[in-house]
Amino acid sequence: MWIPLRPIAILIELAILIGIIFSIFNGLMFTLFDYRLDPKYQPFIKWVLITMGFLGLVFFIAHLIAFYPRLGSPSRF
Amino acid sequence: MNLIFTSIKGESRGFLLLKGGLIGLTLIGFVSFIISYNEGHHLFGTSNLIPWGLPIVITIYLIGLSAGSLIISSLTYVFQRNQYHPISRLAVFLAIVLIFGAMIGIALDLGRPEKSWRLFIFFILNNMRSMFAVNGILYGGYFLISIIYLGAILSDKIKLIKSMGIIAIFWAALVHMGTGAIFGFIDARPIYFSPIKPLEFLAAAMVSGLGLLMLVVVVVFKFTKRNIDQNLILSLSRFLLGLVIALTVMVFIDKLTHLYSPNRDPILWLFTGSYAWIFWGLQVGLGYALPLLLLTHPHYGNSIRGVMIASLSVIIGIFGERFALVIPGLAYPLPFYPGRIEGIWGSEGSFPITSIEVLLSLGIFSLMGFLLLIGLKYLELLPAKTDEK
Repeated sequence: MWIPLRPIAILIELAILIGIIFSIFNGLMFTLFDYRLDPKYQPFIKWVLITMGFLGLVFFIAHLIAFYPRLGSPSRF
Repeated sequence: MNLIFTSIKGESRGFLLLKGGLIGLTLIGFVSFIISYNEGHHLFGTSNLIPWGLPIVITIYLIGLSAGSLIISSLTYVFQRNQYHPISRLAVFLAIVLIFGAMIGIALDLGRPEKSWRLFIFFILNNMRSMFAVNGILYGGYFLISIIYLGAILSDKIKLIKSMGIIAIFWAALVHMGTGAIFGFIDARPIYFSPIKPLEFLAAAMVSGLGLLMLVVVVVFKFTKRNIDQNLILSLSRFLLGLVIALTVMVFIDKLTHLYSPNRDPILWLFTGSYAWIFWGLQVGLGYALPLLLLTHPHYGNSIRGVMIASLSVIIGIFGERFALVIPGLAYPLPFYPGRIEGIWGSEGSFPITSIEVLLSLGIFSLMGFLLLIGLKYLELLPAKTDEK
């Protein structure tokens, strides 16, 4: 049975990248508030970082679909 | 500067519907990006003859809107015109959102956004005699300066606000003059080449930035049930009138110089060719003529409705001005050598507006709209209502 390895691998890679983006942005947020940024701005910064993360995610989806190596099958997927 | 600023609650049905709609359109824009990234730029209307399409038109348009909006905010913080204080925070935030949208436009036009870091390796990977490289410094610096400026305003640090305000005005002026210089310094493109282009871009930035700011202020104040000081809008409209006159004069001088014989064919082609309707209809009609008529009219010029129509007309007209510069400027054949050139390089280029490009552009605008809503909801950008603490 043929298993679509490429989409699965892309999804796994995306999950890892989301984890990395989440960790970096969370670290950034903690740093900002450790440096006495008023906590009332937390929801705004959170939304901005979510938006940035989403932009990053969309880019990674596009990039991985375009460039992820073929796995096990001659077709694109 | 004793005005109290608040955020909006953002719990109304209209707000949630608008937010949902903007998120939906942004997602459609994202899907369009994924498709265009995988299939390539041939999905856009661009070609070897016209390599710059809607993302570049939108980028220079948004940079102008942003620079104009930021310069207007300085009326309060630098020139101490306190009557404009209620709208100054919104002006700065709007400027940041717009420049962010412009940066996304540039990244999309690159085709490979992952390579955009190379734009910022100044002096090593860049040819610093290129206006593009110089603009990399201007755009990056502008984004940082605007954020620090907004931070200072939100935390009420008076001295920092004033010093950042002065830096911000000069930098914003440089940013848009630099964008104008990208086009104005291209000797090979007869429709672009003009020493007045940086100043023309600055005037257009202030016109469109002020027009957008007035429109956003009136719409936001109306929907959040805040009282609009009619005198504030009317005084801004007089400022807008002066700027539209200045811009019209600059464009007139620019085009008149290009009409001077013997190298007048490109500009005659712009006036009468396949893009003439954009030049005459959008740029001249909506950008200059209609606003001038409305703003000098004894009735419409003194009513919010008339001023709003003029502002909207200016916003659409300046978009037309950008389109009428970028696309026809490239579509006109390059003057490689005298005489008629055979083949595609001797004929005018065509630019079909494709659905992917339109959806991508809508996505950029929707993302900016969404960020504006988030800012209104979580930052103290609007003056408190009279019954609000």
